[in-house]
Amino acid sequence: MHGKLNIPCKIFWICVLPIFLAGCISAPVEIGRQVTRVDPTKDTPITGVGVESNDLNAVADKMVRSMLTVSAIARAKNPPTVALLPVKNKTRFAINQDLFLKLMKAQLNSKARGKIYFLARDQMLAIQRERKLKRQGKADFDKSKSRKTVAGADYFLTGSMDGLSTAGRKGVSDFILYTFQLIDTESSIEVWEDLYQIKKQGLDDVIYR
Amino acid sequence: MLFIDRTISSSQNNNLSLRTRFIMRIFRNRLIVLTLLSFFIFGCEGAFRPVHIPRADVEDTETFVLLTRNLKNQVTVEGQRAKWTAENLLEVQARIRNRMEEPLQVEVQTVFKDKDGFSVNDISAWQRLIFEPNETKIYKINSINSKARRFTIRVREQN
Repeated sequence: MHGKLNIPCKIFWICVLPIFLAGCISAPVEIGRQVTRVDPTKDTPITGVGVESNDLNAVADKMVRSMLTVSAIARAKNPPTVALLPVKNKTRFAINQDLFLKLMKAQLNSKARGKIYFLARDQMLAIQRERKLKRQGKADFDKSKSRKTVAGADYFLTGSMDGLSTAGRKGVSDFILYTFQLIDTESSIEVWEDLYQIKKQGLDDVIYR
Repeated sequence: MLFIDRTISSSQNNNLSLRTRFIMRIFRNRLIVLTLLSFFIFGCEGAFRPVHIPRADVEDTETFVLLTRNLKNQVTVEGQRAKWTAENLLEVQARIRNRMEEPLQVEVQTVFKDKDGFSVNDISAWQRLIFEPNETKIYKINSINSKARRFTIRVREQN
């Protein structure tokens, strides 16, 4: 009689066992929209009137090409040293404006290697710490490469984004003026400046993060 | 009896040879089928040679190309020139005209190449050109480095 179960007990197990088993099965993964890779230089269906990746590419490319024609850069005896100053964003779009300078710097370093030397001012603390360790004899280094101080900047590269927005019943319109300058750090003379203008209109249904 | 025996044995031999022939034929057919199957199955493995289409390498020979057929009726190039700047960079100019009676937007890009037609790590970003009906615009660009010897201007439709 020990091996047999009575009817209420059977019903209990029939009800409870599936719950236990179902608990072991993971919930089905909800598959959202398929992820697709797109050309960053092209407009996509998810686009707004603000700054897009294709604008970023076009602006940076134009600035880099323009900057290399300036005699202060092109005809310099030694490659000039350039430090980056933050780009001012005076538009209504909250975007990462540092992307412009990062893209310009990367393009110049990769495609026009040796024309300009950029100073890693954003890594200054780490550089100072390393120099200190070397001079204290705690880190080995090639003494022929030693310098009394870190390199100074011949030029500052900076820029700004200025916006003009209008809104109506039919949608919104945004004009953005991008300007970039190369400033002589001794004389404060702007040895180069160039601009890029973009105007877009449409429905303002995209959020920029 | 001897005659009968011989006839029986010869008929048995005949039967045997017929059977073996039949079996052989089946095997031969199977072998052919298997050989063909393996050829079809394993013959498809591995990489493939690219299709070479004569006269399709327009980008290699021309300095101005349209990437889609539609553009043939929309834009044209009326003049091109290239020169070396004082900074030893290749500067390219093209006079592009909207052939239509309505506004047009296209995107233009330049690939700077060495003398063999390979890119010298210098492909410009796509630049938007916005045309009024029948308007002509000058597209101007210079290379980033002094390695460029040739160029190709590409035009694509703007969706």
